[in-house]
Amino acid sequence: MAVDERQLARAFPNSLERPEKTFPLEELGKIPVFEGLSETVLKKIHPYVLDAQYEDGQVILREGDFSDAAYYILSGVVEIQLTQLPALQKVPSAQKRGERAGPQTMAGRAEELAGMPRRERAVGRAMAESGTIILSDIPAELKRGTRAILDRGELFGEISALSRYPVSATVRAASAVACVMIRTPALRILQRSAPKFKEFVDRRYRIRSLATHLRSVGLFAGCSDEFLRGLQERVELVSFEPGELIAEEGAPADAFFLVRGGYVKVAARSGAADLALTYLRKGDYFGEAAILLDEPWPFSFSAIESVELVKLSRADLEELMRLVPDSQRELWEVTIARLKQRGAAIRNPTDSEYLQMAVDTGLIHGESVLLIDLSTCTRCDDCVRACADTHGGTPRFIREGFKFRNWLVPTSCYQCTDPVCMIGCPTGAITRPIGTTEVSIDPMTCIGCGNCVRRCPWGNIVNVPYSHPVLKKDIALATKCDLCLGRKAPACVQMCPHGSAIRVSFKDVGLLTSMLPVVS
Amino acid sequence: MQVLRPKRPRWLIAFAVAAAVCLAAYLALSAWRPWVPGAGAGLVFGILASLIFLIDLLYPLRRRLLGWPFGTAQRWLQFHIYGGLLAALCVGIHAGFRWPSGTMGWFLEILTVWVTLSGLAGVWLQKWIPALTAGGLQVEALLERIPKHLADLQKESEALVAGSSEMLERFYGENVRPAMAGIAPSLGYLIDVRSERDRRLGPFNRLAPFLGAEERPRLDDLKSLLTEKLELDAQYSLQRILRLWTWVHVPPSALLFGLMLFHIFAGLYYT
Amino acid sequence: MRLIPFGTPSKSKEYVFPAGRLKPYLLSVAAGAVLLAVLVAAFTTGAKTVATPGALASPHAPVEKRCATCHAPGATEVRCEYCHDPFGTSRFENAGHVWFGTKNPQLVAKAKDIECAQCHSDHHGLEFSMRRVDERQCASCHFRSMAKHPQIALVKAGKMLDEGIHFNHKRHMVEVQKKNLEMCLYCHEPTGDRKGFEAISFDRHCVLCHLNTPETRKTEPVAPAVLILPRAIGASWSDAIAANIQEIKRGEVVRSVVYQNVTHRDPWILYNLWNLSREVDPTGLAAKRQVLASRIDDLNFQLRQPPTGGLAPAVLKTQQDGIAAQLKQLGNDPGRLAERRRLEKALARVRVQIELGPLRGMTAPRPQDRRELLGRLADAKAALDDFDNYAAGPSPTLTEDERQARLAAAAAITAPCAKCHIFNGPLIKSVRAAMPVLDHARFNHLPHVQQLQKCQACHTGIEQSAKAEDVNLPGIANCQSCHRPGKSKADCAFCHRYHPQREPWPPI
Repeated sequence: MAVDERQLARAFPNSLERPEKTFPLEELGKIPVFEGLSETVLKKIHPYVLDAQYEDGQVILREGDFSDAAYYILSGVVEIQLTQLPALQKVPSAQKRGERAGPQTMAGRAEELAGMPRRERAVGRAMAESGTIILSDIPAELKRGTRAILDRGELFGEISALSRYPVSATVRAASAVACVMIRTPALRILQRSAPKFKEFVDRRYRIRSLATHLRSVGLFAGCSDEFLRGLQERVELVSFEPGELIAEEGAPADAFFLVRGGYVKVAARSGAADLALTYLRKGDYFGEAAILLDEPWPFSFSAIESVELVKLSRADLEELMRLVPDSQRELWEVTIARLKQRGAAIRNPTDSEYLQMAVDTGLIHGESVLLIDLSTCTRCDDCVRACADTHGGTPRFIREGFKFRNWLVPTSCYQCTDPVCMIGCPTGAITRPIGTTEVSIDPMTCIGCGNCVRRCPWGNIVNVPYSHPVLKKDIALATKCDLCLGRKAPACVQMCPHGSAIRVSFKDVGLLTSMLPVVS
Repeated sequence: MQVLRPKRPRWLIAFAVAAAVCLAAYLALSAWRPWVPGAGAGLVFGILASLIFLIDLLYPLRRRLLGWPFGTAQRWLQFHIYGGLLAALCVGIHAGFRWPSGTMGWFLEILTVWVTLSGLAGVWLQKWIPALTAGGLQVEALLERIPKHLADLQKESEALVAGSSEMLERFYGENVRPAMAGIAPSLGYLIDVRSERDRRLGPFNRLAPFLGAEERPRLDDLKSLLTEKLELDAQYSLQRILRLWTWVHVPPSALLFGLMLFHIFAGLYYT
Repeated sequence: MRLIPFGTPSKSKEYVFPAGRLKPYLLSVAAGAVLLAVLVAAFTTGAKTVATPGALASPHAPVEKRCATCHAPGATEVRCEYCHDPFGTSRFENAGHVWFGTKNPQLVAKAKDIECAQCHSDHHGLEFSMRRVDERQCASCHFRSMAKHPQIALVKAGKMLDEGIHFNHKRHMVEVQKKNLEMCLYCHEPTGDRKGFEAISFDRHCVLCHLNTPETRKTEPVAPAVLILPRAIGASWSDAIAANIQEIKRGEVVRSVVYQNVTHRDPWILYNLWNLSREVDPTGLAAKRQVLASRIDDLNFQLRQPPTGGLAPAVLKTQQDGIAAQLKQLGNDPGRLAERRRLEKALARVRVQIELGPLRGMTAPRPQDRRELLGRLADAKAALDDFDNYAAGPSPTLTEDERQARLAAAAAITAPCAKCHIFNGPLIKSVRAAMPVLDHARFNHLPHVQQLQKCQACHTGIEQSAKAEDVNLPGIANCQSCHRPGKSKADCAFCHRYHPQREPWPPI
C-alpha cells in the first residue's frame, strides 16, 4: 500500500503537498483537547496546529517513519495496521554492515568492538503477556495481522513526535477523516504550559511506553512485572530546556534519571574548566554514582537539547538493587567506568576536547560521520570523485568543512540518530530502514521541495538539478550521503588510497576518544 | 593515544620476504649457471617484473573505476609501492645486475631507476606534506578555491582599512597591500611551513604602540588576515607540489611501459 | 585565529572533475603509445637495430645492422653455423664435443643440443670477447671446481698404450751421460715455439748409436723361394742393393741370407715383409691399408676450406634458385620435415654468401696448422704409395707348412729390427714415440720448464724407467698445486677445448 502512495507521488507530485491549514484562533479553543487553555497559550500554539483532512484509505502515518506531529480525530474513523514484524525480533542489520565493511572503517570497528545489542529499540512497541502488541503512540493493542479502529476523540502519534521514535504502526483513514494535527513545537508548549495536557500525555506514556522503555534498559530487564507496574505509577516525568543544568557537581543527590529523549552532557570540573566526559542519550541513565557512593553529585549533567527524563526516587533504585542483584553490579560498573573517565579526562584533557567539540558541533548526532585525517590526507580528492562516480557524477560532499585538530569534518551527512530531515518530508522520500545506519533519499519519490535542505542544521543536504526519468522534466532533487547503499563500504572510505577517510559513529564516546589520535 | 593508521608492517614484511626470496634465488641460480636474461630464470624474473609493473600501472585505473570489486584503493596503493620496488629489484635481477650495453638497455635501466626513485620521492612527499600542513597550519582549503579565498581576503582587508587613520592606511599601503596582492608560492614551505611569517608580521608589532586604542583591534584583524593569507600561500605551494609530482612520476612510467612493450615485442619477434 | 568561512559547497564540475586533472595521465599514455608506435614502425620498416640490446662484438661488426643474418624470426636458433660452419661439419655441435671426449656413440646419441649462444652470447658491446666462455657452462655437465678434476686418464692407467717400441730410459740416459751430451734435450728437441717437443726421429737421434756403421747380418735358415731377392724385384732401389744380399744355398735348400750394410727402413726387408704378410694375412693388410687411406681422408677433410675468392654471384644466384625450387616442390609435407630443414639451411647459407660475400669459416685451418697438415698428408700419401708398390699382387692359398715357413722367413729377416721394434704378426707396429700424450688437454712446456728448470721436477723417476710404456707423468694433484683459484689459471678453457680441433664430426 505504501507502494501505491509512492507511485502516486511520482505521477502527481503536486497533489502530495499537504492539504492542512491552520484553524481560526477562536475555533481552536473549542476543540476538546485544547479546552480550558489560556488565550496566550492558544496564540503560541496556533501556527503549529493544523486542520488535516484525509480521504478514505489515505495513509496518515506510515509505520517506521518519523513524524513531527500528533493527531486528534475530530470526525471519522482510522484504521491501524501492523505490517512489519516487531522490531524486537529483528537482527539489527547495521551490525552486519559493520562486519562487511571490515575493521578498516571506523564505523565498522566501533560497532564490532562494542559487540552491541543495539541500545535502543527502533520502534516503540512492547509485547504484552497475552501476545498482543501494545503500540506506544497509538491507543490500541494489536495482534499481528489484525487491525484496530480508532474513533473520534482519540489522540495518536504524540509519543513518536515528542521522543522521535519511529511510528509504531501504519494509520490510515477508514472513512473521510478530519483531524487536528498538533506539531512538535505545539506539543512542547502544551507540555510546559498545560498541566492537564501534560498529565494526559504523561499518563498515556506511563501506561503505553514506560514499560517498553524500562524493559529496554538493561538494568530493568530482570525485574518482575509487578515492580515495573509499581514504578509506572511512582516515577516522575521531567523535561529540560536546551542548556539547562539538570544536576550540578557537588549538589546533594537523591534521584536517578533515565533519558527518554534528547542528549545529556556529563561533565567534570577540573580547576576552572568543565571537562566533557561523555554524553547520554535515549536509553542511558545517570545518578547512580551519587546514590551508590552516598555522596553529592560527582558530575554535573546538563541538557544539550530538549531533554525528556524519567526520574526515579532513591528508594526505588534501592528497591531495584535489592530485587535484582545483577542490576547492582551493572550500576557499579557504570559508576566505576564514569569515574575512570573523569580521571582520564583530568589527566588528558584532549579527550574531553573531542567530546566538547562533538557536543558543540552537533556531531554527537552522527551515527556515521566522515572524518578525514589531514595528517595523512594528500588532498587528492579521490574520495569526492569516488562519491561523484557512485552518485551519477554529482558528489554528495566536498572536502571542505570544519577542522578540528588534524581532523577535517567534510560536508557529508552525519546519519543522525534522530534525523530531523525526515520530519516534514511531504512524500516520505527520506527513509531509514529500521535497524540500519543510513538515512537515504529516494530520488523517485523526492519532489525537491527543499524542506530537508532547510532543516539540516549542518547544510549537508543540497538540492541539485535533476532530470526526472518518469516525469521527463527537470526538477530539483535533494541529495545527501547515503553511505553508498548497496556497496560493501562507502566509496569515499574504500577509495582513499591513504586510509585517511574514516567513518565514525559518535554513539559510543569512550570508543571514539580512544580511536581519534591527536597529531601535534 | 593509539595512532589509528596502522603502519602496515605486514606489507613491509611481505615485501622483505619476497625480495629476499628473489635475491636468494638469483644468487643460488647464478652460482649454478651463467645468468642469461633471455632464458630460464632470467626470463622468469623479466616476466615477473613486467607483470608486477603491469599491475602497478593499473593503479590509476583502479582509482577511476569504482565498479571494480578488487580491493580498496589503500591496498592497491600498498601494492603499487611495494610491488613497484619489487619490480625494480626483479629488473635488476633480470639483467643480472650488469650495466646494459645497448642504448635500449640504457634507456630501460635509466627509466626504471627514475620511476622507482621518483616513486619513493612521492611516498616521502605524501607523508611529509600532510604532516606539515596538519601540524603547522590552521587553515585548510581546496587548492582550486585558494585564488577565490585570496580575493575575498583582499577585499575584506581593503574594507577593513577603509576609513582608518592615515598612519594605518600608510602602513597598509606599504606593508600589507603588496603582501596580499597575489599568490606567492615558495618551495621554502616544504622545509618550514611557517617560513617568513615572523618577518612579515614583525611590522605589526612595531606599529602597535603608535596606534590609538580604537585602532588596535583593526590592526589585529589585519594581522590575522595577513596570517591567513600566508597560510593559504603555504597550502597552495604544498598542495601544488603534490599535484606537480605526478608529472615527475607518471610520464616516465608510461615511457618505460612503452619501451618495455617494445622490448618484449622484439624478444618475441626473435624467438 | 579565524577560520576560512565555509558555506554550502558549490559542487561544481570545475572542482570535482577539473579540466586538466587527467592531463598528466592522458599525455603520458599518449607519449608511451607514440614511443611504442615509433619504435615498432622503425622496426618493421627496416631499422631493426632499434631493438638491439647492445652492440655486437667487433668481429661481428659487418652484420651489426642485419639482425636477420643471425636471428631467424620465429625460430629459436641463432644461425651461427651459416658463417662458422658453412660446410656443415657440425663439429661445433655438442654431439661432436661428446664424441671427441668419449668416442662413445651411445653417449653421442644422448647428447643434447646446445645453442651456440648459450656459451657465446653477443650484444655485450664492441670490446666483448665472445671466446670467453663462462666456466659454469662446463659445470652444467662436468664437475664444478678444479678440486674435483678427475685424474688424467693416462696417469690413472699407469702406462702408455701402443708405444710400439722397446725403450729403456735408464740405459739411454747413462749412454747420453757417457757421451757428454745434453741430458733429455739430446733426444727431446723443443719445437720452434718451445711449447712442446719434436717427434723423435731415428735418423736424427737413434742413429748416433744404432745402425751407424756398415754391418753384415746373417739370418736364420729360411725356406726356399719364400724371399724375393732384389734382382727379381727390378725396382730402381733393388738394383742398387743387389750386391749386398746373397743367399747361402746348400743344394736347393736355402740355409740363410747374408745381408751387408743393413739400414733403417731397409727397402728390401720392408718389401719382403709386406709381401710375406700379404700372403700370410691378406685381411690384416687390407685393414692396415684402410687405416692409411682414412688418415689421408681425414687430413684432406681438415685441409678443405672454402674457395678463397668465393663463388661468383651468378653461381650463387643459380644455387639459390635451385634450392628454392626444390623447397617449393617439397611443400609442407610433414613426413619430409628433416629434408625441408636441410634445404632451408642450405638456402640460408647461400643467402648469407650473397649478402656478405665469400665465407671464411672457422673450419679452415690456421696457416701454421695447415703447413703441418700438408706435411702429414704428404707422409701419409707416400706411405700408401709404398704400400701399394710393395704389397701389390694376389694372395695365394697356403698350406699350414707354407704359412709357417713364411712367418719364419719374416722373423729371420727382421731380426735386426726386433731389437727395438714390436711386431704385430709379421708386420712392425707403427711407432709414436714422444708425440704429445694428452688427448684432451693442451699443455705448454715453456712456462713450466722456465719455472722448474729440471724435467725430473715433474717427470720424476724417469732416470729409473726401463720400459717404454712407463708414464712418469705427474698426476692432476701436481697440476692443482699451482693451478687453483687465486694462484694460477684454473679455468677449463685454459687447458681444454670444447670444440674438437682436428677430429671431424660425424666420424668419417
